[in-house]
Amino acid sequence: MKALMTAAALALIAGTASAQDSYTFRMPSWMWEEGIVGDWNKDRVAAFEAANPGITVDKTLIPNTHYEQTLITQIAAGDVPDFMPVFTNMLAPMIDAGILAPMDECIESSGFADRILPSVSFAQVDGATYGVPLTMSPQSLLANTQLLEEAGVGIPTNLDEFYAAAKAVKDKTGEFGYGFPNDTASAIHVYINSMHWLIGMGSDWSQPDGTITANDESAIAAVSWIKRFLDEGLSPKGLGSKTVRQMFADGKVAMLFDGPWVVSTVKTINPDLVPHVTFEVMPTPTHAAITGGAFYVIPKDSPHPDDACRMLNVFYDPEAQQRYLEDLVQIPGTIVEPSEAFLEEVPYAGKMAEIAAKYPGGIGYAPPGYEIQAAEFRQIVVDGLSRIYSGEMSVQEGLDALQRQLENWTKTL
Amino acid sequence: MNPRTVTMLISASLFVLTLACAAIVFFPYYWMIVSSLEATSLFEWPPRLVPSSITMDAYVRIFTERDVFTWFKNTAFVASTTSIFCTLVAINGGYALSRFRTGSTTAFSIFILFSQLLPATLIVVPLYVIFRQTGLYNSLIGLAIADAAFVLPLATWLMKGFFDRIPVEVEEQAMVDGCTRLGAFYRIVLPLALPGLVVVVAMSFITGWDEFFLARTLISSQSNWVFSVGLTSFETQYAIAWDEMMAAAVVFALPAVLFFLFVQRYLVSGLTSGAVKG
Repeated sequence: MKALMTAAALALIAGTASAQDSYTFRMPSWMWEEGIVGDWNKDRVAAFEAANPGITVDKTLIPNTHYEQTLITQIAAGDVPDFMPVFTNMLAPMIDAGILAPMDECIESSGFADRILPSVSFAQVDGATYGVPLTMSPQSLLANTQLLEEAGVGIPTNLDEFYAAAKAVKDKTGEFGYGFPNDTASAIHVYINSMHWLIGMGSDWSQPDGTITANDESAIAAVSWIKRFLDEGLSPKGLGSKTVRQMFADGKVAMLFDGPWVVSTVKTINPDLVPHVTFEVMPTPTHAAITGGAFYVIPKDSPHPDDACRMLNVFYDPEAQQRYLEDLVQIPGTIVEPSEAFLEEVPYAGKMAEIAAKYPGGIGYAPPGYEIQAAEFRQIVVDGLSRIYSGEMSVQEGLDALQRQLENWTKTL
Repeated sequence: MNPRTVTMLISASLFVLTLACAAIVFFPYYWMIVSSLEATSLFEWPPRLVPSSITMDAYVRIFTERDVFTWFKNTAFVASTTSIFCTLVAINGGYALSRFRTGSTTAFSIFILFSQLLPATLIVVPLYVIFRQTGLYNSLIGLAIADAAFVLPLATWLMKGFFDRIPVEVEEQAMVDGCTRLGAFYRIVLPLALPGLVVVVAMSFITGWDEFFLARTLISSQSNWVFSVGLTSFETQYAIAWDEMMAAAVVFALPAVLFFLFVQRYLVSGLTSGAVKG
């Protein structure tokens, strides 16, 4: 009887200890089911769980279409995850709202401090670091060399060549020469496309001091160029970024401005096209390539910030980072030296790094001076662009109206 | 031109106009079906109205590679629960507001109508907190309650309108013949309000079936996803599986269409008869 009671007591103690040590670590993400990206993330989580017995990672999938809104709702309601990835454009508003924890101590004590990409500076405010890069890739010209060859043109290096190539593709193959998102229902991608052109012309929608420059000469030239492709039927109308990428993967669009992640889409939809895809310098006057990506962050009220930091070490394991670069063909959050075999297999990978280094066009998709209110700013710009793209207003009229609207809006801030 | 010819011409023009309107209404559904069956690229220009070849691959993939059955089961549960709960409360609430008119019931009826003016975005955070605290978060029952909360005010008012149309004398006659008030309500008044009942059942069922905003906020685990949330998973960060999404949309729409076909006879008469009090 005594032995039985002792066993029961031991079982109870063991049970209590186990209940204390075991817990579920919550990491929502949009990436869990994203093909090879999802596989890489799941592999890292498995490594973390193996290294931390008793911790189970709750891989809550929040589709990317409503990732930001769902996460903000949860955090506002006090339901804070342990650790999470965020899109670059989510970072500034979240830092401003005081949602994120400074990660400096975590970074200092980690094994990756000396390997983090310099773009970590994007997550630094008042000397504190609120995020570490998950991936940072330049967006530049992606071209289908097969279609260009069929059209008898080479890779364009300037605007005139770009226009001529788009026209030749349309005339000689019947496919679209240049695809870009112009479905104005989705503001961010239409805005990003306008950034490619405006920054490519040496301008932007605003200046770092907050001056609105929506109707300056370069902006007018940039929007006129964009509209030209729509007016002349060289670009498909009314499509979102994802559909344009799919059309590129289907061989229905010869060129687009986007990140190397498009290659993952091509790999999935039309692997035969992969050898014909190339990543080139932007054909715009400045050749500037804007950089986009995502960051890992730890919420200020994370229930397990120390484990979140340990999780980061698993994600930034050098071997895993190497696979991130070479299997996913995306630039990981830490500096990785590509292997010779990879450079041979993906010849444009070296060019990708070169473009990022040589023609930096800024990180993220926020208008200079309005990082916190970026979403509202982008919406105003895209509403203005929709009036121009639809022909309701000329480029000059539309941008003049937009300039006034943005200036009035800044007075309300 | 004689008057008969004019009448015929007007009729013919109206017929053509109706056909054109029907085509505009039905085209998105047609395109959804075509996109789910198209074997080659969806991105042909000019677009092909009739697919050059047909395949069921997208349907096979969604049933073998996605949790469509789970989404379907969860959605059916939420829609049915919402519908049953809403109907039960709305018929009783509507009857009470129609027959027991006092200052407080009038104030209450205005209050519930007022609650309809609050957008879901305004109350989603408090709702989320309450659901977390009460254990209703990430549960299908919780989602059904949340859906019902949004349909109930309108459903109650609809039922009130139907009960207002039924003369109180009918009920009194039943009570003279020996019925209790409850008996008169269930045996006499409710059958007379059947068209209204069908409207409430259909409206609450459809709300529970296709609601998205609350579902995406109050449900976290994939095993509890309803169809409307599941559909968004076909759109990943970089691409959209259009054929699969359209195939899933067809599967998602089918029960709702069948349900409407089944109840449409009652629905039309219910909507029109509830519209006018008299």
